[in-house]
Amino acid sequence: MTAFSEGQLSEWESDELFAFLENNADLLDDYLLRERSELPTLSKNSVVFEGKEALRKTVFENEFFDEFSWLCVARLEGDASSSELKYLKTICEARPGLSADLVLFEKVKLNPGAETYPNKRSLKHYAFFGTTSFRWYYAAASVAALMLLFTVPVWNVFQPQMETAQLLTATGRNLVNIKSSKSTSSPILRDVAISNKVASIHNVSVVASLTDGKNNAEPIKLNDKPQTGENNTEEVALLSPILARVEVKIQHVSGSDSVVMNKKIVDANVARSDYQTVSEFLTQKISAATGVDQQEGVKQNSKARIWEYAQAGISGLAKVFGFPVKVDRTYDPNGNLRKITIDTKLLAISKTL
Amino acid sequence: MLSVLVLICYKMDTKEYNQCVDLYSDNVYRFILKNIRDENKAQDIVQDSFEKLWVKVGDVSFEKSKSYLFSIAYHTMIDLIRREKRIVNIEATPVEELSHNEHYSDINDILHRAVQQLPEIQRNVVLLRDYEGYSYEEIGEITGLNDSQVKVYIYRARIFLKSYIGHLEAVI
Repeated sequence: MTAFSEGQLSEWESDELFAFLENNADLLDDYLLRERSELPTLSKNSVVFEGKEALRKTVFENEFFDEFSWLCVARLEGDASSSELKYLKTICEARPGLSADLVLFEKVKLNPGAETYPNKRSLKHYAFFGTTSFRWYYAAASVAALMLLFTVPVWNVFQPQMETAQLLTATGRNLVNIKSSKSTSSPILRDVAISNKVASIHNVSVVASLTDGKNNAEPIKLNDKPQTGENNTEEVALLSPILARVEVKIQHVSGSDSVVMNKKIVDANVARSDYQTVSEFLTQKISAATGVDQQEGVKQNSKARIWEYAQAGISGLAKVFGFPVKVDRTYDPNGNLRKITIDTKLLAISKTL
Repeated sequence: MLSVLVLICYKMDTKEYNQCVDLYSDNVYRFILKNIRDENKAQDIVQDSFEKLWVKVGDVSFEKSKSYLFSIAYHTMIDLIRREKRIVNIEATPVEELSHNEHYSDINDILHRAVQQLPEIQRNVVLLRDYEGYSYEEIGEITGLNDSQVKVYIYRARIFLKSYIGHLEAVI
């Protein structure tokens, strides 16, 4: 009967139904009574599921995320579009409980701490005239520069009146014909005034001094190319090594007496029977510090300007060993360098040129 | 004839390199320290990273030096962590174990403890995002991930951190 009322019977089935009802009138009466009554219907809008926002998912790169959380993080990261922000606001207004979650999401941004790296200086590298890294380079160059400085002025056989300052500036002058040089006596300590200072730290005294080295001088060219024409001579500086000695005494002081408890002498130069050239000294120091053979890096011809090199060396020495160095130059009215004074913790050196 | 050490032309990159030390050493140190929580090892990694930058100082521009440093530091740190096998898998940790009975000073302490429970990759990307303000692309360059992967990891980390502090607030 229900199928008939819903129009689901075929014509043949309907005829069969009518034939049946004619023989069963009471069933027809029941059907007609039911047809006249109204069946209750449910309101479509009477039941609402409250938690649908929490169920919605969003997908990103094949990853599924809870939609509300996704929107909150997008808002935090600055990825949310204006429509997404609006939608998020709508959700929070409809579900005040979710607003608390939004507040929690706003708290998950990390704040960097205040930790600092404790020893930045150890990370840094320094360069003097292009030589890179390794404080041993500077220490070696500094000591060698000290040695260079003390052998200036140039020993000039043929022009005893030559100004040393001219050699330091080193530009195209008739200076020395090295091939004719006969004398090799060393001018190491001539015109050099040295004050040996004593630095005391607790009961340890340190005395630094310079002593004369060997008498064999070797020339070092200052120009890359010899002068042509009338000035067909080479600019050179004659160098001879000096021994720098540092004497360390540990003294026990009792009243006015001092008793030497220990004594140690440190030679800044390598102990050799023969003298050592600047390049050899540098090479040895650098090789000892780095383990690398530096012979290939040492070339014959160089535009070394002695004063600048020494000054850099002295500054490097101060930087490495941590004591201040004061360098003063004195010029005459004609602009020629007359005197160099280097004042350090251990040595005060002045040289009249 | 005496031979003299050659004077090479001064490299301007040395100055810029030292500027990098001043600008970025704290940042790199902080990032590494938050990950491995060992000051000595963090200092070693920072030093190692700057030495590697120094070796490549002629090849890396000043503008790219920060990301280069972080990339080196990140990979060095990862190598160290894997050697020491200190990876924590958060998915294996039940939510109930996230509760604590300690008294927390502030939300930052709570968050940093939560960060330690993140998987290594999520922790790294979140730290790079929040500490240095890197974009997804920049983080991807440092960590070897693509933008989408970085975004997914950050989103996962944020959701976990929110759950962590939300759970604590419910307990408290």
